[in-house]
Amino acid sequence: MTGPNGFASGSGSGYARRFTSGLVSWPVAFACARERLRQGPLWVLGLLVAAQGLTVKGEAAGAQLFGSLMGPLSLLLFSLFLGAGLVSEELESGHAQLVLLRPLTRAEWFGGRLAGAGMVLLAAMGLAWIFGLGTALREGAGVSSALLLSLPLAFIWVFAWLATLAAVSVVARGWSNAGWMVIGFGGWGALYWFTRMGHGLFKAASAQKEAPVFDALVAGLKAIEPYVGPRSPGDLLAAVQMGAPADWSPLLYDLLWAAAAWLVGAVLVNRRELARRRP
Amino acid sequence: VSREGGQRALPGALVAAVALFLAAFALYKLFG
Repeated sequence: MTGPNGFASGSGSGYARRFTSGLVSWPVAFACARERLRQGPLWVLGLLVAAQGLTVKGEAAGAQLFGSLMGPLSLLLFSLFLGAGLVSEELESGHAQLVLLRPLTRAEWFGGRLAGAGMVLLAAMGLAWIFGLGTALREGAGVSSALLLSLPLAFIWVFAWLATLAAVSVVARGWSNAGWMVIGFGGWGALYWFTRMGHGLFKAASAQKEAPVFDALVAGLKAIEPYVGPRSPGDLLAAVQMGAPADWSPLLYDLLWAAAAWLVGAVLVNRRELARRRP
Repeated sequence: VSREGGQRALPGALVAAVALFLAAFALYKLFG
């Protein structure tokens, strides 16, 4: 049972109600977007993202726009800054407590913060996409389906990272969520590549060709690797660009990752104590 | 409403989305 202002009402339901329809509080989202847009360094990174649209080659714009090296790199850097302290700043300043005096759920508030950052991300990527479209049209390449798909697919991918940053930000102090993400995923990447490199060197140098434990370790890491973190749509877009059969599983995996990270963030924010703690 | 503010209900759409995408990914991997 829900009252006119969204509060649970009636005997027995109380606030123990488990599910609501509210996903995003849009006033919170717009306030968050405005606040993020006031950060200078974010503009520099946002323009770096947008500038990718000017560097592409017309006929390959769809595959190159967010798929070549600088595209993903600038996008990940941008989302790292965008998501740093996304939730913790509000919790630590006490602003969250104030906002949550209003009749909205904690999950809606969390969704609002995430959606606000997502809007800024979409604006930067949309600008890059418009530049890429302009480049393609100017070079007479026309609009390929890969170019049309590049914006939604790449956005879902980066948004999944952003949702992860937001979820970590519920429990990490200040901007440390960005640090934990770099340590966690960078550490995994280092472990993966150094193990593979070591394996290759071992195979080349050692006289004995049998190393079952090492082989199994590398095979295991290789099997896990595609599932650590959201998957870049680069290969998918390149396949669409060339008209080759595409593997769509990265898209489904990124959708799953984004929704799961959002849900984890909402669960964490429900469990967290909002009161400011003594430093 | 909780003593600290903010109802603690979860959005049903989010739970449904996780289940849906998980099923879609698993089906694509199995049969796609």
